[in-house]
Amino acid sequence: MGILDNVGGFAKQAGDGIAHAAENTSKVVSDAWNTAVEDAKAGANAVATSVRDADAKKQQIGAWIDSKEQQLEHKVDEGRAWLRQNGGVAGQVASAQIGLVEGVATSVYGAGKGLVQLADGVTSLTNPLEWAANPDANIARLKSAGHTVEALGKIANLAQPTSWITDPKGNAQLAGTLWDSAATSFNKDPAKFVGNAAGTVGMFFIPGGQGAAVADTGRAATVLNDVGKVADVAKLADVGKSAETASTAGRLGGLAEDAGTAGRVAARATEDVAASTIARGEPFAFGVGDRSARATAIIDRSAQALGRNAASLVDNVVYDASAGSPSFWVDRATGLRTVTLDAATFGKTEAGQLVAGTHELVHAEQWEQVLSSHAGNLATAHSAMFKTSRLDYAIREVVTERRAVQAVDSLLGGVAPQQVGHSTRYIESWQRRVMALGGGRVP
Amino acid sequence: MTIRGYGRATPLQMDMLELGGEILSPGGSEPASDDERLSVMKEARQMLTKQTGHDFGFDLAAWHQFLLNDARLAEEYTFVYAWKAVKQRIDELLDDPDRLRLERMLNEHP
Repeated sequence: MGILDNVGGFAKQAGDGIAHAAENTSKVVSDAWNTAVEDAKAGANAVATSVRDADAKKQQIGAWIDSKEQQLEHKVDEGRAWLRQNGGVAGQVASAQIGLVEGVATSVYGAGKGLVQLADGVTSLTNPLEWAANPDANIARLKSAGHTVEALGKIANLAQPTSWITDPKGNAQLAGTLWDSAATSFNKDPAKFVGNAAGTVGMFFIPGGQGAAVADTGRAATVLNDVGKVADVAKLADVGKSAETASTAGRLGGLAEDAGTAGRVAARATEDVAASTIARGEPFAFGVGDRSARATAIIDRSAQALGRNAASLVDNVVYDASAGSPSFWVDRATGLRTVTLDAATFGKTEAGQLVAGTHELVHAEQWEQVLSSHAGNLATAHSAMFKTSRLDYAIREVVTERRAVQAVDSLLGGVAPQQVGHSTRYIESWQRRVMALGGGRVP
Repeated sequence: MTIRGYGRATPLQMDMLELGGEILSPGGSEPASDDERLSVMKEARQMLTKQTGHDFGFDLAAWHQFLLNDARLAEEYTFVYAWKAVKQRIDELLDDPDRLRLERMLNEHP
């Protein structure tokens, strides 16, 4: 649900994809933009009033934050309540978004005041209707986003993002990426957020949007060299105290991984050539303890990506140092479901580990469905699942990896470009095989 | 499902393992008969030929070198997810007396 739902059903006419884009990612916006913007313009007059009304409501909470910074958390709560009561659907969305930035150290929160504005405005920034109806407000939001990164990062002299104005589509994509890489991580892990800010800064040097990113990797890399300074900022702000319990290595891994975000947009358009140039992900540590415990932590987190409880999908999570890879297996006699993780998985990035774990859990979901379709008959279900044809296996791999990477992308608010590249290439290799075996390209 | 022992292997990686006589039933680990292994070796050769436009017969080493050095195919063949385990097994199979026995059988009675 989003602001579009507040405008007399127009969102339904514009399509579900647009409604979703209004809430979330630049990727979806990119896909939906071309087909929806003309419809959006046609309906702009009808919706402009509603959109601007939502703006006015959002400005009120911004004013509270500015005037009562020391009582910030209280005012944010108050503002959220006000928006819930007075903002209709749009207010509920804004309320939820503002909630994303709660629970962090006040010192960082103060510096991130602009982020509240970004959170407040992201729905509009990624909303084609809003661009059609109210472009000036969106331009102001983009400038606000730029100031936010500059204030938080303090790691480089940022170019004024005025070039965004000439490219609204690129603006929307960049704004969505800002949201993905900053706000979500800020909520999940402030230390990681700061790393994300460093990555995001790189995009300010992208002239004209996505396509030109590769050409300017040198400047982006220069900025990313300042990640160490960003880490110092995080230390000074003592954000670690408010983060989840995590090893230092894990948090540093998160920083390094998110530094790669600078090339994420480019990587999605050009495979991950830019990403390889800009930054590489580093191993990430899930949980604490030995690898058996951490394997369980990976699978638990992977299950979250699927919106499931791991215990409902698997009976055993095993770390096997001698295994060549992760795997999902069901004991034909007992029905015991086991996910095995190998040593190499622990050397992957956070996203890499989660995609590996989620991939196997998607297979566990498939087993759940196959067993159900066989009325619980273990023997026949087992054959259907594990003695499948080559074509079925190929199709399943396309579907499984795609679902895994999408789920992890959603969970993390974006994944590192190298992981996107890996998953894309893996999927494409199986797409080719599907067609070689006489099937059609898996949609 | 992920091929047990090899993880998310790519199609070319699976073809090569099968050309080496591996039975890649997802999750499976049952011992295979000669007939089963010969059958998958034949299927693997056909698929490799179809995918690459080349035919090196049942010569695992020749296929291995070709795929490693082909600009278009090397990426998929050495794809990172399963490559470590795949390469290790291919290296073993190259000199495996049992596989060489099966290769001779196929060459003598294709």
